[in-house]
Amino acid sequence: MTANPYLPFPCRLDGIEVENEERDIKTFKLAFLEAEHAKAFAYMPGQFAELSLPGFGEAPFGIASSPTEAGFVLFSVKRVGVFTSELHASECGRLVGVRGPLGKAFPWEAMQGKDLVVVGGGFAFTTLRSAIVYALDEKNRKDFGTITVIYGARTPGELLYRSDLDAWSARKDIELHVTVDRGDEAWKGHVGVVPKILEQTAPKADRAMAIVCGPPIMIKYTLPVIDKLGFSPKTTVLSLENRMKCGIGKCGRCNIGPRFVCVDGPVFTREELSALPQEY
Amino acid sequence: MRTKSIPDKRIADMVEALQARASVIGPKRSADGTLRLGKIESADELEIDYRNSILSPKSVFFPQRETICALEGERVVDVPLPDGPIVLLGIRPCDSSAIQALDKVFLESSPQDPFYARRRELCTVVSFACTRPESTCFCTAVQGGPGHVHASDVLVLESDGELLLRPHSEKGEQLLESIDGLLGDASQKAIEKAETAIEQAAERIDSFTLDGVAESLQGAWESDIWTRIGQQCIGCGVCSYLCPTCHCFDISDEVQKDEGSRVRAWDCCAYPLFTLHASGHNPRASRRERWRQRAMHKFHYGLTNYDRFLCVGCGRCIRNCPVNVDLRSVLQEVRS
Ligand SMILES: Cc1cc2nc3c(=O)[nH]c(=O)nc-3n(C[C@H](O)[C@H](O)[C@H](O)COP(=O)(O)OP(=O)(O)OC[C@H]3O[C@@H](n4cnc5c(N)ncnc54)[C@H](O)[C@@H]3O)c2cc1C
Ligand code: SF4
Ligand code: SF4
Ligand code: FES
Repeated sequence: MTANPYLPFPCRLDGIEVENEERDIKTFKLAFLEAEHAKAFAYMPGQFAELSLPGFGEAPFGIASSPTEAGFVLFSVKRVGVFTSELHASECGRLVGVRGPLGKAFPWEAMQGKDLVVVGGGFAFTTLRSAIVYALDEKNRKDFGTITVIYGARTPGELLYRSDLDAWSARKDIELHVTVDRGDEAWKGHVGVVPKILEQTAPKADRAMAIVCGPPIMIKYTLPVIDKLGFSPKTTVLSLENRMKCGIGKCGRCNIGPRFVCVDGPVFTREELSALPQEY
Repeated sequence: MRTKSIPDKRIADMVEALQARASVIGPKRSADGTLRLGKIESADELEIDYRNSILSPKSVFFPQRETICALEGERVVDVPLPDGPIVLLGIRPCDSSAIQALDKVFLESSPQDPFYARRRELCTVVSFACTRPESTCFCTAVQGGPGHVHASDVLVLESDGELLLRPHSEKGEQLLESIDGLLGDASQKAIEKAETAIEQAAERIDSFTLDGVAESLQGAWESDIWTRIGQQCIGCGVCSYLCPTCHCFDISDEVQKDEGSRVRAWDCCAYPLFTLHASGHNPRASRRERWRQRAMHKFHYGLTNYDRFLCVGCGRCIRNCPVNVDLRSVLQEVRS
């Protein structure tokens, strides 16, 4: 008999980091109670999991840690409703259910040997952090050409993962462009929306794959730039969100045309998306 | 095994023999006079001279509400699988086809749903060929027919004063063996008579076809038919609750004082909250998009993903829609 696919692994909340000035995004560090569960939760950057607290339900979140960071998993969660508010109100030591890993990862096989261009905006940067940490890991770095990251937020206070950004900007093997819509006195980086900075940076497309994640408005203005730079529908990768419950292709709510975002996605190439209706 | 027969007057004995080994679920009158599927407590309750039940048999395998995990304090723990053999007696071929449709989702797409899988394993399906199609039936347009076997372990045909029983799986053979003392061999004449009745029934069924409907639907994404149907539909959800193939569900926690259950319950694509994002964005914001999803799911995505329609032509949604939305005319219009 198959195991119950709705049963989460118990994890202990081991660390909580407030990510932004608004204080509505926190990164939660979770540790599996059982070593065999940690092993069963073998994931790749781009995948997601369902987190749950008894009585407050379940919700899907992209995995923000990289499989190269052993011993814990990270999720960065914005407070918006019932489950996310309860998680935000939680303290270390509380048990959180983790069900997954779910969905498809970024196309790591196709990205082997390529230059990587990572374009992110707002708090959709979570699985992009996972991808960058993974690609920069000493065991993996040789598998990729240049790595260019363009990441934007509205204000400096809304940038996630400040210590990672500092560490990356000190490295020679990654080109990092962090930008904000509006700066402040202390801000010395780019000012301007993501598509504009992408256009200025103009990473080469001929040997590259681009991963683009962000709010719909950013995606809308970024894709024309991606086209102009010469990326093809095959080499441009997006990650989608839809309301989800089961995460395993059964409850029927997350589909776009005949594809389920939970099992056929959330990662899709633009080529795959072009075959689907624009219902997302 | 050959076709077996049992005289009408011994049907009650057969039901009793089955009750000795399993819980028997079949069509019976409920207190309000409607015909529903339910547990047959005494053999004379079973009613086989009927058109179709109001509710479909899907709840036998996929209950309207079901606990999928137990909640104990901070822990989420596993729950035991259902137990005890079931005989589902007297469903129509359309509803048997619907079981195959649900199998695609819960059994044949990885990961399997263990609750559904266990109930399918525990259940022997005995369906009755149909000689009483209604004006709203259209099984023949959706890969079915009044004598089709589909997911049935035994198919029963009606002849003069007797029932003819044909096993179609190992489970079916075992079931007939277990009541062998009550059965005789069916005569060739009786078989021919029963088969003729089924052919005649097939001829009485609405002759419309759905050839090419998936392609038509693909080209009809922006059709204004969705706007019109969306305005007519009141979003009550009756069509999906009664539909034998609709399988969408919600998952929620029900807790009292630290103890409770994580429950899945039937849900419906006609409801606005079904796809509402936490951000407030809704990819299917109006009934136009929601009705389009219903039609696309059953008559286009089903063929793409499972090589079959996710509709069996039972007509329940047509008979029970409070504002007379008729799926058939929607599809006809899309095709023309
Ligand atoms: C693949 C994927 C990855 C994701 N990754 C992340 C991530 O990394 N980080 C992140 O923060 N989020 C992520 N999300 C989004 C996240 O899943 C949602 O924010 C989360 O489900 C919200 O859960 P909640 O229980 O807090 O909100 P809910 O309480 O479910 O609802 C939030 C809002 O929805 C509305 N609402 C809900 N129920 C009703 C009702 N009955 N009537 C009216 N309005 C209602 C309300 O306006 C409410 O404020 C991801 C989603 C997907 C699909
Ligand atoms: S039964 Fe009729 S009114 Fe109700 S949701 Fe279905 S089509 Fe709409
Ligand atoms: S869509 Fe209507 S006719 Fe088709 S199976 Fe469902 S209830 Fe029956
Ligand atoms: S979340 Fe249930 S089908 Fe995708």
